[in-house]
Amino acid sequence: MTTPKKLADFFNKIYTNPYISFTNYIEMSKEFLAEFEELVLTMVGILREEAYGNAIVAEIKQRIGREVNLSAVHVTLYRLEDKGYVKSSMGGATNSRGGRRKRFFQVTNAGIALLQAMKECAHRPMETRAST
Amino acid sequence: MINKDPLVVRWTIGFLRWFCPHTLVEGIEGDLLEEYDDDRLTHGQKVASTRLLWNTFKFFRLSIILRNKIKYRNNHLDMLFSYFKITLRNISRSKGYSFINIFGLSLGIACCLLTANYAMFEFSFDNYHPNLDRTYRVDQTLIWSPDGGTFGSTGPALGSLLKNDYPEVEEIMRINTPGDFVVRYTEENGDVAAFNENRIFAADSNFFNFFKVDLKEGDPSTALKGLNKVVISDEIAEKLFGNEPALGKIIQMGNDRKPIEITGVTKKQHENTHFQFNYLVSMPTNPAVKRFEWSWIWTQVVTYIRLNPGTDPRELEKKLATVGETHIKPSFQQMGINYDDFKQAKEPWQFYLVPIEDIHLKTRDNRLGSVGDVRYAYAFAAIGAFVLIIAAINFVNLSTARGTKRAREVGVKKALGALRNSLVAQFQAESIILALFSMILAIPLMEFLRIVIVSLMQDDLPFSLWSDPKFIIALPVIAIVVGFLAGLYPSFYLTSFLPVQVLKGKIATGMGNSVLRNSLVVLQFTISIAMLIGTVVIVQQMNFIRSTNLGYDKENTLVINYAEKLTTHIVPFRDEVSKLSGVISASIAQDVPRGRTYEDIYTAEGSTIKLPLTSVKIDDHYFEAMGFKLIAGRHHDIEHNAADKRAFILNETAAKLFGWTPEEAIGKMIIYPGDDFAKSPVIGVMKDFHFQTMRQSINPLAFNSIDSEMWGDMRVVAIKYKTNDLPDLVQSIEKKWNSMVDQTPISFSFLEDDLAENYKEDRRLGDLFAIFASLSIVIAMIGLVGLVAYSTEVRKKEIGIRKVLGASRATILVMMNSSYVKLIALGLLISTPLGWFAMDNWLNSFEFRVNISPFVFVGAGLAVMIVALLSVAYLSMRAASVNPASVLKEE
Repeated sequence: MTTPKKLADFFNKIYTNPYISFTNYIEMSKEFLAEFEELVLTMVGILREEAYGNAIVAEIKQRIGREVNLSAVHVTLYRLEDKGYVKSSMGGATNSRGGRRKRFFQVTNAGIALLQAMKECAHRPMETRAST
Repeated sequence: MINKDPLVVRWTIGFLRWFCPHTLVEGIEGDLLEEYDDDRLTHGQKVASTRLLWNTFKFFRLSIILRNKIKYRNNHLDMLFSYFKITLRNISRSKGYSFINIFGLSLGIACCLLTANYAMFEFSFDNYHPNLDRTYRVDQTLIWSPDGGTFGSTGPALGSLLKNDYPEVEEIMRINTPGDFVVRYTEENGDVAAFNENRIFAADSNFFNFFKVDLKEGDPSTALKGLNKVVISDEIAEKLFGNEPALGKIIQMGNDRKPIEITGVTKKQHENTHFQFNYLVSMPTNPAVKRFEWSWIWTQVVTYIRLNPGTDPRELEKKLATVGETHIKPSFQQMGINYDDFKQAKEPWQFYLVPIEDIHLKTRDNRLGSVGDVRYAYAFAAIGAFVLIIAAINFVNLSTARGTKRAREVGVKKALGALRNSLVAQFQAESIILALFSMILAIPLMEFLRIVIVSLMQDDLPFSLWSDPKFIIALPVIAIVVGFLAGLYPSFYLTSFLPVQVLKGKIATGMGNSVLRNSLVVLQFTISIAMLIGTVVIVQQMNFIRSTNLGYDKENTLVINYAEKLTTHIVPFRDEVSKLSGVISASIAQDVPRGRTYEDIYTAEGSTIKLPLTSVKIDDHYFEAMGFKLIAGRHHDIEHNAADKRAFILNETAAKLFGWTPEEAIGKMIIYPGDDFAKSPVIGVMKDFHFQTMRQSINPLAFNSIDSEMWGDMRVVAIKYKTNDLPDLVQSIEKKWNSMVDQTPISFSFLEDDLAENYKEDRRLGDLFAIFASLSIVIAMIGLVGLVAYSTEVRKKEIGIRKVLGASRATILVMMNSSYVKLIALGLLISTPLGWFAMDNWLNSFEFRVNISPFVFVGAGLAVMIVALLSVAYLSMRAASVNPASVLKEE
């Protein structure tokens, strides 16, 4: 990350435009998530202690009426886990589900920060427009 | 619970468990089953099962299947980087040892590459021709010698017979050797350029079906069809025509200046082939072949055949065993020779099919060029391997000797929980990385060595590493294998330390396990000394050959070759030349004694002995010019006695084999069976001299007169000179030559050079042995210096204490040096029988040879020992003269 960052700082120095920040551009590209990842991450946040595969599928269907496949949700959760935005743990034994335990997901601090940053970014263009 | 589920559910779950990583399977399985339960309640069993199957199948994707595996590999790569980093640190921490390790190993690899390259080149001969598996050269019993054996030339009749009478033969092709010619080319401005040309062959028109020789110009299917056509090599085309296209140009060949059209120019011909040609004329261009089409004994062609697919060559060989009785015998009867007489006391007349790949290394005869020796190819490969072994031993020895330094590192790592496997991996990685460095360094070193060798031997090594892409790919593989093998022992030895003992400082000697290290050093010196012995023996034999009195005067003899081109001017030329100042004597002969021989069978009047006799035609001055000695009778004197035209002079051996003493021989009659000229009287017997190479014993020889009607048209003029200005003499001889013949270049050589040419391969062997022996000694010394440097370092305190207790510098020196002097002595002891056996074997290929004196072994051992003492002199002196206070003050 250091080199692109340095490069961005360099560009910022020689190209001082208040509207464009290269640093932001670089960091944003790292931090932004695909639409579906963002959706799943948000659902994990909403469901809190009850976030596991099936629950997320159901929650998405209930909230925005979108049918998503279980496998897509699982893969996305693992990817988010790789990136460090969620963490998972196994729940207690169950009587339903053939006795298998649930894998519960939880948003990490990094995940929360990311959700906030994304929210800010989504609003920023409008703020800049308003301030001029 | 799952057992109560329908089969499809169980199978689906089984499938999931098969592909899904262990860590994920429970969560996914639970979610799937939960959904299945829901579906069963809301949609029924059937829908639920279908959905379960479908949902499970959707999990079958890379991001699930490979999840943890990829992560694992990433870790591994990180470890590799860490090994790399640690290796670099170790290299820079002990630069001296690393230099010895890397430089020694790369010298070894360079030698090995060079010799492997040579061996590969030797084994690659003729392996690229079309339909190789069913193309053969037909060899036959060596009918010209009672000793038997086989040779690669046949009569022209064989080819026609094979083509017509044997359906399993698909195609035949013959190559004839018409000899050397003068080639002339008339340029546009009327100037005539003339060259003495060699490597001129005549071939059947299907030549290009048999051999992969690519044409730059011309059409291979028609180039050799018809009379007076020739395909020339690219070098000749450039010599004759420069950059102009050669196709269609007319050149004149031979003394009769026959105009011949150029119908093709080859691309650069392969080096690894049993023949390269300068001129390849169409078969009808040499009318002799047509004239002898019926003959079985005009053995001047090489016959190649291609069999139909699936034919067993051994079967055909069996069938051909009868050819002697069915075809050759009748042909002999027509000539008026008794076949059974001819065959008497010789091996049965057989034919053999030799795969063309085998011609270079596995046959002893090649009419069209030279042959290699498979033993030499193996010898070189072995030498390369030995040098590499010596270098790898350095590697092993230095790594284990440095065990103490590394022991602490190993101990700490183990204490911190490193597994032995990962430590072994680290040491192996280090050794492989070092080997890779060495390999990179070895490539320029190899090219350097190659330049050295080429300039030392004045002989191009006709191969290059870069011509074979396989070899380039093989390079890193070789490095990795060498690194792995060399690192095998050190890595297991160094990682075997127990952390507790190491950290307590128990393994302090570091010279532990010296049995293995010492035996490796002994092996190193065994190899080096054996190679040194080989070098000395070869040099001795070559000196012996050079200095042996051949029985005549070989010095200061200039030979004018192809003197038959002077035709009738040859006698005036001789007389003019002998008048030149600086010329002692000049004479005309069929040849000078330089290894080439022409044998035929002779008998004597009233004797049943049939003797293969080499006959050479000479003039009256030959004895004077060459310094042969008569022991009985007189030599030819045609000028005063015309009857000498038929007279013979025998050598001692011939006289003895006929059963005569030299004096008895005078006046006896020699008969040449199968020829109708009268009997020839013996007028003299000469002292034996070496007219063949030292590999052969002195065979029977006869001189007959240059004016005799015997076969043999070749002429040379031998000139004995004594002058301080040789170039001037050569120039005036050339002037005389040019005044007598028109547009015919002179060709001359010095007898001594011609003789040396016979031992070219042996000299090359000697030179290479010398080079690689010195390299192996250098590498072994590098290793020795490393070991001694290490042991002085380790024994610093011991030496200090010894000195305090009164040891003198001399005792310390003896102590330091005696250990490896013993090892060298042991190496000498082992290499003596090995070297003796190998070199005696080689010497046995010479009829006249030196005996290996014991001083060779003593000398080689002493030489190595002295070099070793000198190499470590500085180190041991420094160790011996150390001030005890400075090494002992620390404790």
